[in-house]
Amino acid sequence: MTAYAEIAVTTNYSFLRGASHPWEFAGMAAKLGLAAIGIADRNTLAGIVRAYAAVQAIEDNKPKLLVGARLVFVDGTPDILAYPTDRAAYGRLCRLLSAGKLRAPKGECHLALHDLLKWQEDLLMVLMAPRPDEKERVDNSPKNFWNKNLAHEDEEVGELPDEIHASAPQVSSGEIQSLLENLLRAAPGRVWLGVSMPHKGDDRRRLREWQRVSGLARVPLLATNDVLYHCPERRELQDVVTCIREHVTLSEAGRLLEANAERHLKSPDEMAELFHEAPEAIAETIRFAGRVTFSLDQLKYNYPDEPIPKGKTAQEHLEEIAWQGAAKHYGGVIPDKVRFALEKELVLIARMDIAPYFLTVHDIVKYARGQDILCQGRGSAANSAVCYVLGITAVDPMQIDLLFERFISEERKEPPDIDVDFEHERREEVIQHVYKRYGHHNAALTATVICYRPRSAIRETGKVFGLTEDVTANLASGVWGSWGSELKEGQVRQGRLDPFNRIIKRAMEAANLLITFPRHLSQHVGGFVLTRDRLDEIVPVGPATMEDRHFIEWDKDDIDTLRMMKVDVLALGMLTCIRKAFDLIRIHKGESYDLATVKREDPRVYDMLQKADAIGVFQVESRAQMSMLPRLQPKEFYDLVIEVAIVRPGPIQGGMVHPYLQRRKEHRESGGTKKFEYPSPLLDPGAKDELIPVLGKTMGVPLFQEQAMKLAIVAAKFTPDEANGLRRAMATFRHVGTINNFKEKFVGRMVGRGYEQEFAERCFKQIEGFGSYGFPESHAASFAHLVYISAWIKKFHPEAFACALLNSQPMGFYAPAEIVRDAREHGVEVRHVDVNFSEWDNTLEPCESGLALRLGFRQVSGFREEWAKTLLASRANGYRAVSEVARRVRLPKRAFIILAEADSFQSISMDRREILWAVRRIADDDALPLFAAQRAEEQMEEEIAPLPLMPLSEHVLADYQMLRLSLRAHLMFFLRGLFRSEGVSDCAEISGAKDATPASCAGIVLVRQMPGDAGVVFITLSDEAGIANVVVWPKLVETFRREIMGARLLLVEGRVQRSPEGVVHLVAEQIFDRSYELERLSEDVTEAPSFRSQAVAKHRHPRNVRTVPKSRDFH
Amino acid sequence: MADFDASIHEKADIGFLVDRLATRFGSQRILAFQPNDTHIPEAAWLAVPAQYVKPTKLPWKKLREPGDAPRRPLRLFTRPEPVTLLATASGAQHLRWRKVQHAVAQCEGPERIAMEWWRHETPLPARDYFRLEDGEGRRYWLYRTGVPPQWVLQGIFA
Repeated sequence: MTAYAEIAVTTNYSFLRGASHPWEFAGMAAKLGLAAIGIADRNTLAGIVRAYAAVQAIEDNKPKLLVGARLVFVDGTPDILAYPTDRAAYGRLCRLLSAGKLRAPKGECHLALHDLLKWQEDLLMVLMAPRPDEKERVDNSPKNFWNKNLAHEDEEVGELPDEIHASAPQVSSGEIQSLLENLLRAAPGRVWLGVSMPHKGDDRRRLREWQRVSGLARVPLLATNDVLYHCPERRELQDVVTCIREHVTLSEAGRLLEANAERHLKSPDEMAELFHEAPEAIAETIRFAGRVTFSLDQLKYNYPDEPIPKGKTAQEHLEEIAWQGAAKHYGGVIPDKVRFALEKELVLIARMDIAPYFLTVHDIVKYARGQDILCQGRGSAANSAVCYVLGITAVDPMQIDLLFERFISEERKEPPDIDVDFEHERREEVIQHVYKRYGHHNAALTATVICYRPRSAIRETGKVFGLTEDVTANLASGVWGSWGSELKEGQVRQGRLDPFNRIIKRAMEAANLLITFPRHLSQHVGGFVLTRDRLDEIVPVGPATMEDRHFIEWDKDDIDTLRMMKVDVLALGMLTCIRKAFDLIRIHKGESYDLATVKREDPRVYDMLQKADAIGVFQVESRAQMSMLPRLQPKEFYDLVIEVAIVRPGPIQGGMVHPYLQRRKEHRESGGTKKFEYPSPLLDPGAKDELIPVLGKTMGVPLFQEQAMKLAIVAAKFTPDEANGLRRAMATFRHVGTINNFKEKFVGRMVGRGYEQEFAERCFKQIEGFGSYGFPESHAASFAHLVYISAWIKKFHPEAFACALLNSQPMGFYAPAEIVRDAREHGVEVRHVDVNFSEWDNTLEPCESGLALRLGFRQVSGFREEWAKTLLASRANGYRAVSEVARRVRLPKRAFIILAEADSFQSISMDRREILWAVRRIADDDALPLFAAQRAEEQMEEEIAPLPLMPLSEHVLADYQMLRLSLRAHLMFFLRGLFRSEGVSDCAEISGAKDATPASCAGIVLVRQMPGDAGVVFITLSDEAGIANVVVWPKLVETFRREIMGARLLLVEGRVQRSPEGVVHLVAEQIFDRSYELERLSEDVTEAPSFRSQAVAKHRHPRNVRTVPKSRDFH
Repeated sequence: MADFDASIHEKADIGFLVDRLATRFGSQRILAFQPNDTHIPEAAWLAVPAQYVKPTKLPWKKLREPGDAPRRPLRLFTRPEPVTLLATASGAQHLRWRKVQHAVAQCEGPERIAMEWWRHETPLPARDYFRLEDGEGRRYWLYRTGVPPQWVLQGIFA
């Protein structure tokens, strides 16, 4: 077989041009037996690491990967492929691309030929001979631009003169020849002419012409197929993306589309056949590939230098502060367990030479602590005793068995991955510090690759196929949120469209392929990459939204693959909430706490959690968690660790939750004496008890991510390499899809050793579920710590808790209305917003029973923070009349109107209508001079004729409209009469009903949730008596999708399901959208006719319906 | 059928002529060619009644540079005709069209044109177009398609 290397591959990281993933190319290259494959995307290196990872994973026929880029110019120069020969040349390529990106608008890259000439040293350059159809472009550009003498200053990043921007001119072979000669002068021996055979009819003729040109210019010919996709079947998708890019439909695209399907990766024999009249061009590809000695391996381990005190190495410094920290933590006497762990870890750290990593993170955390910003490490880093004594994580080795191997493994040779959560409101300060500390050349944000999601995919492909907007919107809205993984037939039917209609079918197929295609790069919110060498010599950088900040082209997975240092500066809303609560407690009660000094293991906190009284508590406040709490009955810290980890797709998918709960119950009931049997390998009796150390802590049931890994090693006898591969596949299964290879190995080997097939498959299912959602034990422990603290605050300082929660929004599972309702149920007095007492934030005030929660101006829709400041500044002794407020406070009239509509003048008058009237009398903002006199002292108070009192329902409605909550009554209260007459129960009655009772319930939709892929939907309804949890099975979801997705007020008929522990759900049988009932609330409520109608025509959204806050939707 | 030049300054006169002819012969018999943006050769132009011709943004594109081979024949058959290509024992090729055999002197190609997949229920095979010259200097434009391959003659060069 001939030897051939394909040098010109365009992947889908050339957005909307390539039609295959880098890993698909890698796989196909191996399959075809190519000697090497050159990935050259348009002005970017974004996909290169994916290609690298994919090639690394290939076992047979691994092709050599050539790293390069296809330079596309704005000055009319034809495309040139640039391949660096060595590390330094690669750095230059990155600088070149960075220069182009930094001078252009976001997402673009503007390059001119002289940029290339500046940076071309040791770059191999392939000028791509223009294809016949490219000659047809409009010619309005200066010709022979590259021959012009462009004397520009040697700037780092220069502006391009305007005349350079031109569209591609008609390029003749003579011009190509002169360009080649130009390039050759600058780069002798490093220039090629790349030619492809596009099946245009005159291929041979053209080839002869290019041979002639290359001879004259003394530049060798290089054979390529100028590839856009990995197999011919992808031509259709390539046409679709072309249409998306050019904003045309398929019928309109005409000759924008390729004429044939030849631009796929071809086998060496096929290429040899195509180029049989120029075999030297084929051989040249091998010579070319041989000259590239650069590989991404050479970029690894580029850690920044840490400022270390003179005379010490990084390791020495680390050891010193670690032992110091330990002594401080344990009061001078370090327990043996900890000492042993620290010694072990420090030895490993020294061997792997990763001390700088810990020092870097320690530095950031120290800065944050110094600024009084709450922070806590998470993830697998919580497995490290060193991290604990350095104050990075909060998981005490005395409490939790740390699995340091989970964090760092010598075999894996990976850098540690330390993520730190910071208060979300103050995270920006930490980010600023990082930039200042490391400098803008060595620190940058990582990218996130924004991919096509089902909704956007179907919308775009639908347009391309000529479907009208309403049809595509219909198809798109059938997809749940934006996280559905595929468009299913049923969803199409629900939209009343025929899934077998040819066009719709095709559009869906294209959309399904398009999902997971990268669309563009965006900056990641808190992920940083820090390097020793200049960042823009390692990866091209582009401008971030904030000035002076850059972000790189690679995302977090890419950085992991290349072993670069990544620090995640994450934001956690709950940390902000906790700190605010601590501040409030300190100010109002004089008690000072922080994350470490809260009294642990108070049984009253656990009692509260056992009753599922957990609204607002970190992690356990969701519906699913609250159903689990009564079943799990947490009594101690480790129970919280389990609680956090167990209600996740991983254990649920693996079917491990019920067995665990069952065993727990038995264990408790037996007083702790029951012994469990562990599955064992029947064919290997010597290892009968091998699963006990792995699963002992969780009673034989694998719940944590690392237990899954250990199972692979211990039960399926995976080698460390294989386990690594499995771990990587677990984490990136969305990208590479190799997890199935592991399934066979895992299940096969376990069964081979005598385990039951069913057990082995369940274990693997859990591993799959762990892929993106599993929790390591240490991470669960970090979170459990915050669960306890937030629960403690809720139990003992409910007013501070509610106040802090409200002030930290948006966060958490519940809207302010529920937080307030919950606080009141716990005896907290909540006071309405008031011009005389409120501040911008929610605050606490002294009251008879202790402290009351005063709602702040931030809760009022449309009110601005600066207005609140102004109001407070002039408040002094208080306001006694509306006119007085208007006089003393300089605010636009609209501000007063908003305050009046939000009933914020209750300390002046309880009559809302009277206040509204008074406010309207305030002079307009740009008052005529005549009215300016009103700013002066008023003659006398005007007598206002008495107005009819506002009915309660209108008050409540107005409250909802302005504050999204009401302290007076629940909206459902006014509809109770109506629903009562229909036989509908309220939420409290549902909670108290017996199992299997038929019942119906109506309420405002608070939360909708569709966890996992099962298709089951959970809805939380709220009324004046409480909340009810509704379960809708998948079949019903299809039937009632409209109601479920759109309604604000639902009526659900079904059957009560009550578990032995008292967890109640209403299983839906019929669902009705009753949002229109909300319309009647501002009219006379008592006369409401009782009628039942299923026919809800079009969805109307009158003002009243809109006042009901939108439900929160979760996956 | 009249073929009209699109130059602006003649437009008014031509329009007048078209109207007179159309009144005499019927508007559906006075046709103008409109370009259509597609790779498919027989669909690359449309004949529409001249009176209803809208000025189009699409210029007739030059497919051919001076010195290049012609890409499209002057005459395209409305009904392409099946032909066969035979090879004799000596290796010489013959084109058999309308029962007459022609010896093949040279050929150039293939120009591969794939069909517009979004228009058809089942995918149609691509066509490989060849320019063929016979022993007497006549030039043919034919394509090969399908499995097993069929040959179809679609046009003749001048």
